[in-house]
Amino acid sequence: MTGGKGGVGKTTIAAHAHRLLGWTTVDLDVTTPNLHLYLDCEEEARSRVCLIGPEVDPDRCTLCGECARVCHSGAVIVGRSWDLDPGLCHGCGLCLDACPRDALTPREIEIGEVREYRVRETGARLLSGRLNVGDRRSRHLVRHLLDHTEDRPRLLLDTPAGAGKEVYDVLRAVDAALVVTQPTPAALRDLRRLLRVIRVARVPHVVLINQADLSERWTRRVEREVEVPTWRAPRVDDPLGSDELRDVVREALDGLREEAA
Amino acid sequence: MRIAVLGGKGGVGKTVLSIALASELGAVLVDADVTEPDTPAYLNLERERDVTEVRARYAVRTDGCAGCERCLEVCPWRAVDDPIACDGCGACAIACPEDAIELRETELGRIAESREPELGLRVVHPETEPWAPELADIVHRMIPEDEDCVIDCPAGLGCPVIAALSAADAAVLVTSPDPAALHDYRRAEALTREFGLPAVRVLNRAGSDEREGFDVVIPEDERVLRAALDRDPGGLVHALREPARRVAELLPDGG
Repeated sequence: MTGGKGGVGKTTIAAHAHRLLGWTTVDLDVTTPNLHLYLDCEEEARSRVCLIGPEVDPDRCTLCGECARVCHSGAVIVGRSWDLDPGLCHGCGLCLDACPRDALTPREIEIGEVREYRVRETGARLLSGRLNVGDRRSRHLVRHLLDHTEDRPRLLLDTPAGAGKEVYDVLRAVDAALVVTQPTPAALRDLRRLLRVIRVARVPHVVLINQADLSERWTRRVEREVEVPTWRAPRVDDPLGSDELRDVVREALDGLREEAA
Repeated sequence: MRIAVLGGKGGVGKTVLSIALASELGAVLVDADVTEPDTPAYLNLERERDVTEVRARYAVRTDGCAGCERCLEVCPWRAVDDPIACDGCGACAIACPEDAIELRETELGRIAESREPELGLRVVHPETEPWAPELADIVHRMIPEDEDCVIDCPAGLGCPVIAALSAADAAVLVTSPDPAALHDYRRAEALTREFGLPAVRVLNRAGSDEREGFDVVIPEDERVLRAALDRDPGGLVHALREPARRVAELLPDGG
């Protein structure tokens, strides 16, 4: 589930898709995860997500600076003392290998957590990645979730807004993408850019135009521009409870299955 | 004064309020949504100049490669030979025992400055490939040095938002009343607090009963949607003039 522009209804559609498919679902919008608020679910477990960085043994360290020379992110600084900015470490481990005196040992640097929920209606799991507020390593947490989620190949992934490298990472990991948009100039502009990324990642996809009745003119423009099947979803009063919306999501998922086949 | 407009959730009205606020203050509008910049979809921009080029490095294996794959072990994205995923950090080049990684450079676009003639608004906006790396650096390069500006942040609370907050003197926090938006908004509030910035809290598209804890409440207004669909910047700013003025009054020194 992906969508370029924020607020087009991607997470609402993801909630419908979860209820229709009953698959394990992962919220990859790790700086602002909120899919758990769209589903009736109960938290069952929490686990910390850490990168592995260096810890120094001051008795062994001679301040030779080899570790700082291989640290491309500037997290390790060696001058008159040995210093680490844990917020800059990307966990590559090069410093640990570079130390000629074995003065560095691995230590955990927490970047966030994964909350595991059980969804009452489906009995299926929802995994929600939550980056610590202010941490800049969202892409690492997305990577962690992509690498550590079981239950493949039946997996529903809700991507963050945007079309950057995190979204590309997710698209590279999936077999098909349901793209949600809206008939507005901003959403169409974002859709175009997202579709470029989807084409580079070579992912079969279909497009769901949410709240298509907002504008017939812009809905037609989306349909004209997009080269894959599209579905129109109406504006409804209660999006999560709407049978009409659910039926459109079901049709779009069936269409996506055909595209991917 | 530099003002960051953020909210966490997408679609709560950050961009339209940023446009109205920049117009009200006579400040430069900075579009910090590097992967999906939307200001050109709301405005009729006339390009004035290129501020700077955006270049990026990416790693490729050369003939000296012995196939040990040490490069891929140290890369969290396994992005060697994939310029779209590669963030150019160079860890693979440091790790390669054969010195067989080459970091190539490519141009991914530019930062442009444009004018919106009807509003008399100056806009700095990115025109790069969506996969441009080092988004925080791009945001920093878009923020003018000695001028007032309004920084329209992307959805989420990632690198570009943190970059905007680290450069800002004040924040405008925007949400709509639904539970998901309020959840994200509280995280945005916590992040803004970490930077110790004064903040004006805006509830957009409010119904009749919700307003507690907000400095400015903007009722649902069909005119905003219509102006967005018609690409009518004048209509957009007109519809949001009153709330933008109230936000400006609440900013330190009136913005």
